[in-house]
Amino acid sequence: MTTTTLSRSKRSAADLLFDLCNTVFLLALLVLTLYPVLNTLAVSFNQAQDTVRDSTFLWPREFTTLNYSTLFQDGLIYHAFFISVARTLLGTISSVFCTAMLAYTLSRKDYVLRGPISFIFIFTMYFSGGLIPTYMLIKNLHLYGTFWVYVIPGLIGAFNLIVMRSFMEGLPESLAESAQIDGATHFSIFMRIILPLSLPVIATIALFVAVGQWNSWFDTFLYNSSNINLSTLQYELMKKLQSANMSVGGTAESAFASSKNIQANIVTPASIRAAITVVATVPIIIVYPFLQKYFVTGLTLGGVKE
Amino acid sequence: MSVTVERVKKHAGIKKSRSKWSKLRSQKALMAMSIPFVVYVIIFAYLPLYGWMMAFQNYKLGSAMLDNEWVGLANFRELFQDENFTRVIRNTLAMSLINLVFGFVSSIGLALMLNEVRKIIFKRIVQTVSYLPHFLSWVVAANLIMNVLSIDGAVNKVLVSLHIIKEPIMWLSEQHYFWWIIGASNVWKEIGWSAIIYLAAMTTIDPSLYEAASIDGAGRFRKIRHITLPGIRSIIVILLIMNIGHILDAGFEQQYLLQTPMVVDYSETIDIFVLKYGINLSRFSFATAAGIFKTVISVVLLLAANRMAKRMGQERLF
Amino acid sequence: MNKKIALTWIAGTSLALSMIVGGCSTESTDTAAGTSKNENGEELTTFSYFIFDPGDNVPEHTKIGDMIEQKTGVKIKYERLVGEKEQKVGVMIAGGDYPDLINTDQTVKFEDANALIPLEELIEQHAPNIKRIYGPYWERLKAADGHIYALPQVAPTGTPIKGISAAFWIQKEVLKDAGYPKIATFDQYVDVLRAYYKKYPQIDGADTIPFEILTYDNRNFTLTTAMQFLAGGPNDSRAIVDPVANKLAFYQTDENITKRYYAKLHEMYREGMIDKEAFVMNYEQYLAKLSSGRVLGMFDQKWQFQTALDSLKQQGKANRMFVPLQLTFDEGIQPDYLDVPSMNYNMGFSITINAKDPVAAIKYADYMASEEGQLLRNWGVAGEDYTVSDTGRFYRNQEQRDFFADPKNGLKTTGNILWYWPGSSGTMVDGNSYQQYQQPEEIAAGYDEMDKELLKAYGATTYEELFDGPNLNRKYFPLWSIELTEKNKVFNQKLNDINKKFPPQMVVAKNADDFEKYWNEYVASVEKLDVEGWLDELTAKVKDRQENW
Repeated sequence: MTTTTLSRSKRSAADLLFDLCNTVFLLALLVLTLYPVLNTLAVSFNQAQDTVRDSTFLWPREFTTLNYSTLFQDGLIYHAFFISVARTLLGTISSVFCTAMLAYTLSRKDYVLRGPISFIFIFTMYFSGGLIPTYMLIKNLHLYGTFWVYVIPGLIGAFNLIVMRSFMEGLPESLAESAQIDGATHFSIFMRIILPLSLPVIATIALFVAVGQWNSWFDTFLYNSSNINLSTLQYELMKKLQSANMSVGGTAESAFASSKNIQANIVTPASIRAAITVVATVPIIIVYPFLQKYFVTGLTLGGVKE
Repeated sequence: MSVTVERVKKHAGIKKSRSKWSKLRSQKALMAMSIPFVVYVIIFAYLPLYGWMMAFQNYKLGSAMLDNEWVGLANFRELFQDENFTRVIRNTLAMSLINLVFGFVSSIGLALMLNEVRKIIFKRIVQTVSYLPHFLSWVVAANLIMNVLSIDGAVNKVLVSLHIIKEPIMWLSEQHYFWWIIGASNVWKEIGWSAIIYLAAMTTIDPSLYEAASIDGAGRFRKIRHITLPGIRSIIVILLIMNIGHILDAGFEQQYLLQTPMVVDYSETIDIFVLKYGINLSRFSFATAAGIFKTVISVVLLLAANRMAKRMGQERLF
Repeated sequence: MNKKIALTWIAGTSLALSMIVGGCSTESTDTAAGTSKNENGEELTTFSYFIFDPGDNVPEHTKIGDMIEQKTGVKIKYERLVGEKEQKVGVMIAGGDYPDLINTDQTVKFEDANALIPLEELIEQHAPNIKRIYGPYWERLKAADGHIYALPQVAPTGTPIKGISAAFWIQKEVLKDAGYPKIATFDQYVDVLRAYYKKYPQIDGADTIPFEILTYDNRNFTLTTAMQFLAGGPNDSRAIVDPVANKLAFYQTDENITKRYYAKLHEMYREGMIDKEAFVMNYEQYLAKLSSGRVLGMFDQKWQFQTALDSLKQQGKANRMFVPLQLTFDEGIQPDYLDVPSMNYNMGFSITINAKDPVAAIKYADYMASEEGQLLRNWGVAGEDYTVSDTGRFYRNQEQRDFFADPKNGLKTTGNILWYWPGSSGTMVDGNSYQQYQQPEEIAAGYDEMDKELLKAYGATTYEELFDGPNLNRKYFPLWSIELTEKNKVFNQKLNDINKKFPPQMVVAKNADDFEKYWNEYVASVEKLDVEGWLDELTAKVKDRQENW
């Protein structure tokens, strides 16, 4: 890290005070953000009707795995999980690569089309043709009912493009220039010099895209809802949630009767939602540390030059 | 190869003398790497814009786009003349500005603070935990917020025991708190997530700059002000300009879920309004008109912000 | 290099395209209706059936589903709604991607898009069971153009069922403590709640909440339409209909009805009898309060708080569960809480223009509507899923009840989906109920000692008996099912917004003057809307239903 180069003896009192305040503040933030996570985890392992009574706790009061087994009771969910992983991998790799390549061309300050192309992409952030025209487009392109509908429409996000472009503009131009003098083409400059140097921003954008891909269910809803082979995890989880919502309202038995058999096996939307949140977040928590090293400790330029 | 971090290094090219066209001809490789994506974006983002015709029609679901009755600007007129319209615009702008300012300050602040942490483990833990609320859906988050803010919730308990307030306050029944509750909950939920981008940007700062500053006897704050912040300035400016274009997107779910009957005058955003009076009533034409209105405002603000950045000699979008 | 890039692009694009095309062809064989083979290798006709209600995936094989498949030679591929209904309808119609069969309450939109085929002739020629069940309602089923496009879920047959949904609810414990008094008016109800509250200001260590109100989002109708019942109206919402004189009265600004109710609530609020947080909590917090056992009463529809009842039951607080009361403002008013047995028209089962063999489809639906089909769908297999007594009464023994208490078993048996076919409600010729859960034996089986004691004190065997029957003059019922023009849909939405804002302010007003002020503001806001135009449309449509049904 940058500051580790300072020798310890030189640390002043002001420096220590700074560290103290900083640590205290970050600890407070830690508590504030940890609470909802632990609470959600606890709710997901707590018996549903007990949660209805009072949902503020950090540890399951009446432990059960029923909320999870309800989610995973039909076998389709495993196939959907596979599709989700596939779309996340393929979608992220292709999107990050294409975005980076385009961003590279736009980061060339002498590129004549840099301005117009940037504008064309930036503009897309602020409008939408609407649900129905987009749907018709996907149908007419024959992407409807295929796996590719998960990958192609989201190939380039304008926001990610601009962030990458801005990052690449910050890289020293001398690198690319000297390579160009050596006769390297733009494509090889991009592949051999710019891509490796851009790892921090690539990790960041990869995280953004991957999270978007992993959490997306709306495209399944629109384009693959009747194609069970291409159903995604989030879409199947969404079904479970809505089904729980439905069965709460739709219990047909006489309401006021206190029949003997306690219906401990009935789940509620709140509990299902908590379990879904956990299921959907765990993979991201697993992947995160691998990406984190790129933007926490950093891959500084100094490190690359050796 | 030695690396110097000189941001405003002018590109020394042979430019002025050549016309744009001949220059373009020499940039075939760059074109090959970018034009296909332009074709792509035109197909996927611009083609569906034909749907905007709906705004000038009385669109009936299931009919061919050109078969509908043309009504000119009637949908826009209805939108602007609605007595709720000014109110929802006011709420949208207010909450959007609060989110913008709070969001930027808090996430940049967190990134700076994390950057100053010496213990890598602590840094990683704080960062990992602080971005987790981003993954809670607003439904889950709203329930937690409502519990924390209820009469016997944590906020009231703490404030009463510290004698800051005498009686518990019903936070969600006071109209004037609502915007700030939205702002604060957005910060809480997104602070860690938004900080990631700044942390990534900080990695590009040359460590030798810090070393040089230390030798000159600069303290922590001076280094933050003169090295770290300038190092991420361009990304801050870029994000700021892009967000100014989103000023009419104050969000939808969080207001919808946190609002109570007592605060409806302050909680409704334009998106909630469009949902209720457009989409939920299958009035696609009305909803499209509102969408066009938002786009026009966005683009005007975006261009203005971009021009301002240019004039101030800052980074700009295009 | 340029060439290299170009080649990469061409290769990439063609690869993508080939995969798209490949994907497409597998998809088309996958979803299209056609034939498939059953286990014995016989050809099965397959229909896709989209249900516009969310729910679990229907298993490929279920016990009853497979039996019906064997008998009919038809396989149904069910798909259920996920996400927003409006959006699904929108893209389905825009793209013309109709399944063979649909079940929806958005029938009118599909009709407008010419997506449905008329059913009258198909039924006349191929579906005697459907004709028998829906015949009495033939004219009502017809859409504006005179054709029948949809068959509602169930048609009333035999002795109509009694089902309580909307009511003022009260804790069993409160009734017991007061010695099971007769409670007929809202004032009496409040007095009983107050007396208990005075006696027990706390329950299980937490403050007692004598009266709770759910006001979250669109669920706030429990505040803004409760007074129609007190004034003797049914579950019509916003207007009280005089079916004989054919007159509609908009009561939302009526001083003797709506103002009277809000004024009473205002009084109760000032007295501390209404939860302070009634207007700031969300739905889950409301359920949590009911589940805590410290709420004594509320107005609500049963389906909204079933979760809380389950929770109370599970906590062993059966005495804190709620029972329904039919209250009015004054003793002289005839209560009208129960729904007139009717169907919700413009919804239900339809055949789309994409169905290749409509005759086979209607024949299958007709089997589902036959006595045999209905028995299988609702009760299951005799001896396995239910028992028949010596006197011919159907019931489930305890083992069977326990089995079906787990929804997973229901999923295995019927897929929890067979309800979405045309059929009957009410009683069969032999007196048994078509629906298992409507059978009096099954309802009574759910009662505990406290229920029995309570019912005995009021001289009844079921709670349903405590309620007056529906007013059968209301042929039009219910008012809220009438499809309005766009202008009046907007009126409804605007009134929703006004109703969200003002009534809570009235209830929590600081004093009587403030209450008056808010009431006047409320009335002024409502009167800015075109109430007359809204009433005119409804009056005409009610008149039409009363005369033609």
